[in-house]
Amino acid sequence: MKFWQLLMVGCGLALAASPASAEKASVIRIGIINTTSGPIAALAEEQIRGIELAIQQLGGKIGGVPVEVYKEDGRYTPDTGLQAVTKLVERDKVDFLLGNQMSNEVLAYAKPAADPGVFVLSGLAGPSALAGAQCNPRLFVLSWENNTPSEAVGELMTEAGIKRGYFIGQNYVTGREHVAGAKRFFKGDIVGEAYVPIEHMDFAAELAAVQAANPDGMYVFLPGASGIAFVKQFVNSGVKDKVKLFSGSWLADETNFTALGDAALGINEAANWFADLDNPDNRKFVEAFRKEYGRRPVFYAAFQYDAVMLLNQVVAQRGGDISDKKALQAALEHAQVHSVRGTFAFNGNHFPIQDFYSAEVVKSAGMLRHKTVSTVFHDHKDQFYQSCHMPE
Amino acid sequence: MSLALLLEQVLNGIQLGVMLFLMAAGLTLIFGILNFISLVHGSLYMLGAFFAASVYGWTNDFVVSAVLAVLGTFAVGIVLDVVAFRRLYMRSHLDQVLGTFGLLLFFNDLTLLIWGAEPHFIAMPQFLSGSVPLVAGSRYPIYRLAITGAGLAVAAALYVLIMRVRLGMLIRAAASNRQMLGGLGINVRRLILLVFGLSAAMAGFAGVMTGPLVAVQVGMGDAILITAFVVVVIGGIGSVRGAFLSALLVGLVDTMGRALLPHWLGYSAGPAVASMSIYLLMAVVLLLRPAGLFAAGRA
Repeated sequence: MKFWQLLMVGCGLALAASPASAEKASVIRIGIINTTSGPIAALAEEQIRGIELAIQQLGGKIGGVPVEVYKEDGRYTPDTGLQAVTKLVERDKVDFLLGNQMSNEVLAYAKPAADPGVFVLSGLAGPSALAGAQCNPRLFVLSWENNTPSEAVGELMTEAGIKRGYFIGQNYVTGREHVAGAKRFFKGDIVGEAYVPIEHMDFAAELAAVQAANPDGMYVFLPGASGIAFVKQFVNSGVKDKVKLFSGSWLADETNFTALGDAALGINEAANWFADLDNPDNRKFVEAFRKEYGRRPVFYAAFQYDAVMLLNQVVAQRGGDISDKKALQAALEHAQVHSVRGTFAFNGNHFPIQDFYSAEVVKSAGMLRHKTVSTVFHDHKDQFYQSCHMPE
Repeated sequence: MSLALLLEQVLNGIQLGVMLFLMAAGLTLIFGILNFISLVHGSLYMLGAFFAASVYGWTNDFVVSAVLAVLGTFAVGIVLDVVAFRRLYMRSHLDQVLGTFGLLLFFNDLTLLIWGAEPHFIAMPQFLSGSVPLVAGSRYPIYRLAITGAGLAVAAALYVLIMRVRLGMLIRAAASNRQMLGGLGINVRRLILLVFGLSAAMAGFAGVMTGPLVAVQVGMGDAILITAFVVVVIGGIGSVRGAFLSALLVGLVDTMGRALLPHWLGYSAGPAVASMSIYLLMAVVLLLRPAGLFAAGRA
């Protein structure tokens, strides 16, 4: 009896005490939406690792408030993604939505999630529509606007002195956007283009055409299994000595170095983050990740890690209060984001203004890895932000 | 387009065709004999590649991994027949499609469970990597020539087996009248088991040979399964000879479509039409010869 009485008194005290610290939330609910099934499941796994590693480093708290995590699978399809997010928002009552792997899904659920007051922090998808006219006050993108990494690749090709460029990409909206972005910044001659289906595996016909066109550099947008097949066949076709490969960081990374083997050597990439970037946050992140998972992280994990750390930063700044959405939005907008790629700020459309670097795939101590070479863009902005008029 | 490039694309088309034949021959063989539709063939292709990747990881020897992987898929084919297919022979085609589709999903998730979601690696054997000069300075990968050669050898062996050997005679007999063959004292069960093992091994072999060129990962067999069915339908369901000629035709049309159409139709329409080309071919063939090109009889 005595125990129960004590407990009641304790609860009463706690209740009485809570209005005094009314501003600090008792718990922060985080929803993670990814594509954890099917052929791109490995990428989702990497992203979830980034989120979990960050939360673990923060001792299970964000801004001092304990965290509850809810996970859903969007399965690559906009309507499934929307369903999953609706469940996270309405049933699990999440405050923040992390993950956000697929652009096609985010386009479908960004507004339905943000309207009732959920903040969407995208750690990968950055569709151009959401950077322009459809920009949303509660959507923040930690990765990039989809065109920008390929703009950096195009610039890198120009800087590398490529005279005759060949461009290959997947034949759907994202692939076309990426190739267009790269072409816009490439100053040499475009000697050929190829657009292939998403799951394309046999590049014999395309590579024969490449050989005939005699380029000295080639831009590649083929994320996933298709890219692995391409690189292996590219090396096998005997043009590797004459043609340099250029890509964003989706062509060769720690998730597919094993599958690629030495074929990955010499690939040139441009991106806003590489594992060897020299800053304290990044060293800490890479080391912790390596300890936990036995290899270097891939950018998918880095962006998600950044999202959690940013959240921690602004929630702490608000003293654990997440009830005032306007103030929280302002805090995010004005945040100097201490990311593992260095500090950056958000543009008016809530997309990053950030640097892009170039790197080469090299082998050291028997292991393939990225070696950062130079800075391609300083404070690069996407080309759509001017058409964004952020609603009040 | 220069002559050298044209020649190279023809070689590419033949190579793709030969690879498709390895898949389609098995499909058409079991349809011809058992009237059985199997969607699980793509999984056997995937398993072949995964077996080879695993053995390669232990031995670093391509030939050993290839042999063991083919034997492995042969065994899987036998087990599948005993455990699952035997219950589906006499059912309707819809039941067979549903049943084997279930198996396809099962194998995808089983592979995910065992090997994980990250793609695996098979190295090209040293003596087959590199390229040889073709004409006028262009080079052709040796490995693709090797695939073509190996595939043609399997096709020739299959021809000898079916047309020249007693076992093949029995297979043909089983295709035309199974009851009668059983009545003559032949163990038809065992014959069927062997055909299943054989068709599984061919799919596995295709997976092994493609392994060094692509990413060995879950779901890799699903796309090629569809193309293999297109080959079977164009060739005439149940005809191995039809499957061979139609595989070459599909390989050439697909490769030539991808090579030429973007030049003729531009970069927006070209790639789209190119990815449709084999289906357009199938539609035309079905319009003119609804039973396929070589649908004379079964086998």
